[in-house]
Amino acid sequence: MILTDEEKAYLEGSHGQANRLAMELLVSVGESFGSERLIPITSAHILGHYGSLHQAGIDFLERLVGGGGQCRVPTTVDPSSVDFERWEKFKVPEDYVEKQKRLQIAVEKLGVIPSWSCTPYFAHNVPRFAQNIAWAESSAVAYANSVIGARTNRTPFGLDICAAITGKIPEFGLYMEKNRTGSILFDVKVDTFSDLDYHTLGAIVGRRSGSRIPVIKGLPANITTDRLKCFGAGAASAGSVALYHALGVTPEAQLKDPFGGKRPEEIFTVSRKDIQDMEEQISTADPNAKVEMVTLGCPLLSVEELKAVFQKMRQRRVKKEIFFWIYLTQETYDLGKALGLVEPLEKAGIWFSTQTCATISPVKVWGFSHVMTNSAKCALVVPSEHNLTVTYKGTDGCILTATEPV
Amino acid sequence: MSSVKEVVRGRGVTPGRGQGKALISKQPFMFAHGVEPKSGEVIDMRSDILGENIKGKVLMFPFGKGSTTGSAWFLETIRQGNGPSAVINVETEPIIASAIVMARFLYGITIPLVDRLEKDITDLVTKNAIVQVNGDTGEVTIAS
Repeated sequence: MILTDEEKAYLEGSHGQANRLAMELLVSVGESFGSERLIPITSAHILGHYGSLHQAGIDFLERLVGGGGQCRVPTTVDPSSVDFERWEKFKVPEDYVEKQKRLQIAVEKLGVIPSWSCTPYFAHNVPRFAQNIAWAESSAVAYANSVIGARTNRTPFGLDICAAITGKIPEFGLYMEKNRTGSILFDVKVDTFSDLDYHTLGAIVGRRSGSRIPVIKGLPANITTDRLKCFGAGAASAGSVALYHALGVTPEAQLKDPFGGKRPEEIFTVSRKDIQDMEEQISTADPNAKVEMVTLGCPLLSVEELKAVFQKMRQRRVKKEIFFWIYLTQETYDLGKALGLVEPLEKAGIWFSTQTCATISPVKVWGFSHVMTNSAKCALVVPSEHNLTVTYKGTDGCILTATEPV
Repeated sequence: MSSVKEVVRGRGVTPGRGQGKALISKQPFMFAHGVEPKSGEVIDMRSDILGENIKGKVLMFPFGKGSTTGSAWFLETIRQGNGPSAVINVETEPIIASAIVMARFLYGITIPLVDRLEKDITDLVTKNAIVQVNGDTGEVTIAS
């Protein structure tokens, strides 16, 4: 790898121990991928939840704090494993909370914006087209690469914060134009889409694409950003999609041929039946088993999605025997409050939780055996994470199951 | 080692030397929810080496898959003393390489990582065969 004088100085420790450690990690990883150089980034998004980072993650971030590390580019953090305000209500053990709080202190000392959100592209950290960024969080990576046309690989824990404090990342993978070409076409032959269909379609694309970059034909040109958020989350969690091109929708597909002048290796036609089949596959629960908890907000619920829930909840309340949990960012919660949406929903029995989500918080302590969600990502991750079964239904189905008329 | 059966060259990605019994997965391998850090046991339900333990083994798999938190899961496994003695990949990726580099910084534990071997050795290595890995030279030595 060819390094600049400044980068060499980092390696020699002239910018402090944190920068030295970070630069060594970047160079080691870069060399293992045959990168020729480090490139500057304009944004980072890091992981900070104890559920996956463990003690080792605390050790690493605290080492960087001790070495004087400071983010050089705007950096946000993914959701926490606990709701910092409501953890007692959600029965999170105190020692677990303490571990998450150590991570909280560390990321704040490193100068990370404490957004605790998996949708950083909505606030505080919005990249522009063709900018190089270093993001973790697979659903956000899919959004940034595809919908915005910024450039990032799926940055793993460790490399994410090292990129944030040095402002550099090794050049490989999706940072290079030549690696952003699609090779499998999904021809979606469906006329109308429900909200759930976008999650499901994402899962179909994720499963089938493997390591290939998918191109999707047939998404409506006026598709909402929320729906693209859900589609990307499904694709990223069912497979490893970090970038997709949607004809007539995403920028790179509008500027040039997403197949780079070549023919697609494979063309897969998606019918209504494929969507129904995948929907059934995602559910793992016995259809007759009683649902104990219903959850919305993976990726975290937006204000528009909250408004839709509010409309559907008119004259309804949560059944006594069911928990109904909605996850959102602190800001969405505050905006929902200002709009008068939060209080009536809380009175109707919904529990809101901010800065965390069902997928990465210790839901296990509740001992649920059957939960329901409107998110393909949540449904795909939760069974192994919390050892339970899941039913996958649209927002309407979730609300019908969780609530009854007043 | 009793006798050397074969020496195969690859690319040394992370330095150091390690040896142990071979543990081979022929599928993409994931650490996030795939390996229990407290024991080193493989817990990924879809893995072809489900239930095996990676501790002290020369762990071989084609490449990594799964969540970007995998590097933290792998690092935690190493921290708890349950890491492999070496890793051999067909083609490595950032999750695996980052974890090994962080482990050296944080805990002084060295795990050589070698990839791009000049030939596929999964058929040469019988289960429990002793394998030596030199991450400085990229050399992998298989004992009979």
